[in-house]
Amino acid sequence: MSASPLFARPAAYYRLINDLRRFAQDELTGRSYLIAGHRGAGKTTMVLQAIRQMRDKALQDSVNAPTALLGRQSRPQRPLVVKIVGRSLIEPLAPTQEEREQAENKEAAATQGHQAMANAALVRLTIALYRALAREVAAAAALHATADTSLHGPRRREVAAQLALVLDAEPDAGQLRHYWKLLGRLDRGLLWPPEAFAPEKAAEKGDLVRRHMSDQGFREIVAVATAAQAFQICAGQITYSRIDNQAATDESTLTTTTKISELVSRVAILFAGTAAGATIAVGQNSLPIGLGAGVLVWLLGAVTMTLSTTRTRNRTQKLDFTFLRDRSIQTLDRELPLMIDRIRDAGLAPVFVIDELDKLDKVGSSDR
Amino acid sequence: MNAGKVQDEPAENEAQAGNETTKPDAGDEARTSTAAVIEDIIDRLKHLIADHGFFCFLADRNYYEMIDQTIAKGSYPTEHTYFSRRILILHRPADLITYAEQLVQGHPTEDALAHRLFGLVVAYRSRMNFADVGRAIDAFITTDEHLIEILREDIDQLLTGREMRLAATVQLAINEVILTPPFDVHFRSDSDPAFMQMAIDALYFIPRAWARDARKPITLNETRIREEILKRKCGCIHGGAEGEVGSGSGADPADPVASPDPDGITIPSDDLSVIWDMVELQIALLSDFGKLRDAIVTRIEAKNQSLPGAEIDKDELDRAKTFRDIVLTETEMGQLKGLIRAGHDGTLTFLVDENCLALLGGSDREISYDENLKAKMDKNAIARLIQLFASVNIDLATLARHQFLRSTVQLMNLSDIAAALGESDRTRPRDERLRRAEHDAQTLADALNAVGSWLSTALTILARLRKDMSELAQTPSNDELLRALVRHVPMPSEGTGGAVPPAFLAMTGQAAPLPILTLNTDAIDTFSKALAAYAPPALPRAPAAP
Repeated sequence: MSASPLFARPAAYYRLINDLRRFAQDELTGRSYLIAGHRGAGKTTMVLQAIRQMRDKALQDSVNAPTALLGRQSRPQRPLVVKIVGRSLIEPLAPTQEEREQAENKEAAATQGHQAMANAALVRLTIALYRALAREVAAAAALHATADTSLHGPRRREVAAQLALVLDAEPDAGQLRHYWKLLGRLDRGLLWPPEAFAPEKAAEKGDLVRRHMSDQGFREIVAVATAAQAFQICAGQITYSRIDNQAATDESTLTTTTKISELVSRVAILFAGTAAGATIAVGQNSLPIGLGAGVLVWLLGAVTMTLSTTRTRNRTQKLDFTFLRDRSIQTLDRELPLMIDRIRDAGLAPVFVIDELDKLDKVGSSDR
Repeated sequence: MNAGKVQDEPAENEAQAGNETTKPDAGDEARTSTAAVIEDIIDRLKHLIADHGFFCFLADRNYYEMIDQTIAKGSYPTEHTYFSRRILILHRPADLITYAEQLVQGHPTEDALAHRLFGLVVAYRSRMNFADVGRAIDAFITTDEHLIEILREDIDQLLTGREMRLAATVQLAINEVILTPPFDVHFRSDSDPAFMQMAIDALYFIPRAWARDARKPITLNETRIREEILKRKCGCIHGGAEGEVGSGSGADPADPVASPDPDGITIPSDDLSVIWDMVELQIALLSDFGKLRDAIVTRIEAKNQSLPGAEIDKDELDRAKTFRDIVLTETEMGQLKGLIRAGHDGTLTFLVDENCLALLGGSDREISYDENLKAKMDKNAIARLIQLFASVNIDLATLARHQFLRSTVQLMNLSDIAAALGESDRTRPRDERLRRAEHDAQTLADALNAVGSWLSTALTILARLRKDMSELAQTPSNDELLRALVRHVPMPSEGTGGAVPPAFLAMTGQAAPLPILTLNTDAIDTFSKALAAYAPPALPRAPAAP
């Protein structure tokens, strides 16, 4: 929240400020500005200064007049500058090994090259947005840790430093939650100053502010995790797969059951044959006849049970399926809007500054 | 957007409407590339831009002009939907002056005049380009200390030179044109930045020509202004010196400036007419600084009177009076009527250069010389000094450029002066050449009288530096030595009698300030002998290469 440096403000500056404010308050869904001028006219300076002024004012208001900030879904917003060099948005991505192998003929190569260029803009935007968000979060975490004068202070400063490193490596929601908790900001979040949104400063809207800010930390975690997932797509190639083998386990159980029943059946048949032989031997008073009858009963029983076991095995079914999640660059088309929305839900309004479009002299139409 | 589409469209309609057009012969490729790239980006990110993000595309003025022309020619073409808003960055004089004044706020003396003067000089030197503002401010820095501190401490001293007042006066004339009704309407808001930019381009035409070569007259008319605007709009650079007599349209059909390609960028005829009216007012104000002084205050008074019942804005009136007092009306040679003299054929002749030095083109009607100065001149002393400077291989113009001499002698050529003085006995007194030589020599004598003793000390230091560095097998250029000296040796201000700081006396071994050279021929001899007999101290030599 340092004082703004001296800056010559052209009339357009105030118009830009006004539209930035309306965007942060969700009065505008999207906006595209052409900011032109001679080299050295101060285009970049003006835009960055406008964003900086908005940001500083939002941070000050969050402490002194919290209700002045209520905008998008009655939640505070401040601009997040995402600076991109214009040339990078049109330079095609390097093809993967697989793409190179597939593109054996010129026509296929041209098609792939066009697709690569189409994706390049999304990839560069995603990377720039994630980097800007990570930088903002890391700086905010350091601010909170530094301001912490309690016994936890030293430990939290170390945690804040660790978080800065973790953010370089696309953390998942679980990791992020761990750090937010260690920093003691799981509920109020990191992006606003420690003294921000004090209910007593919010006057009659104190309850509103308290209610909306109670889940700030969780919204920040969701935003960073979503952005990290999208960044992961740009940073490398990953494939998710899930194989369900529950059907194979069921088959094994069925086989065991079959064997136990067969054993029981065979014992029962043996017992029935013995009993039949003994009964006939006692009734006829002839051991050979009884013995012969017992063997006959046992043989008949055995034949019957063998046929029954065979039928059971024929009914066994095996279910097997695989799920592959699409994490290709093409998905950025839908991931990036989601990422922006969640970042906005967390209180940051991304402003993409596409600079140096006047330094494209060497980029001819033939390049594209 | 298809950039080729813009270039392919014929300009017949424009030509029929009386608006001559031109197409740049350079920079087309760059514009094509920029337009194609922006078109690509917008196509790919259309849904993001429309529904999710706030995008700022930073491009050059050429692209802005191209989009503007394309939209103007077609009926809601595709380009119309590319941007929610189109902004052409243009700083108004007040923006930059306020910025510069803020830089020096807090100066202990709270000298409003110095603050105003600083802002005006920065605005003038930057030609309203923000990047050049930094360069203009850097020019004020003479040490390695922090800029702001330097400005606050030295602002009074820095701004005492008449050349500063003259630069501020030229900027005041531009400001006055912009603020004068009905022209002020165009500059109150940024509703028409393209017009503002064209007007600024036109109003800095005279200062640019003046800075380039004040000795050359320029021809200025509506056609010449139109060409200047087109050239700057298109960003194409043509060869040849702009504004020279005879370079206007119709003067030379083969001249690329005079023969614009009738395709591409246009200037609405109404706009051109208004801009020419502004330039005419500027010429009038620059021709008569008295009129400029009156106009600055009269405008504010008229504005207050036009609002019956409203309180007079005293701050604004005080500010205007401060500006009025800044206007330069006299030089060392006498009264200065204005910067230019306008001829009936549209020719403008500059009366003084940027260093406030009277030019040959000026006549006694504009500049009245102080006749008493001639009595103070010692021709012999001047001639000896010229020889002395030559003995140390330093020319007078170099000394003046590095502020060793007052700027009035900056552009003087020593050999010319010497030759003219030599011829003075054989030439009739009323000869124009002699008159000029006498004037230049008089100015030199006057300057040396003021800083003579300090100059002799500085020359001694220079000679030592040169010899000592030669001993170290280094051969510094005059510029390097002088820059080093200027950075570390503050020049005594006017009116201090040429006092030499004690540190210099210690360096030169002098117990007291040296006598003023031009008033004491013996002193020159003494100095020359001391210089010739000077033996450099034993300095460690650079280690020999193995």
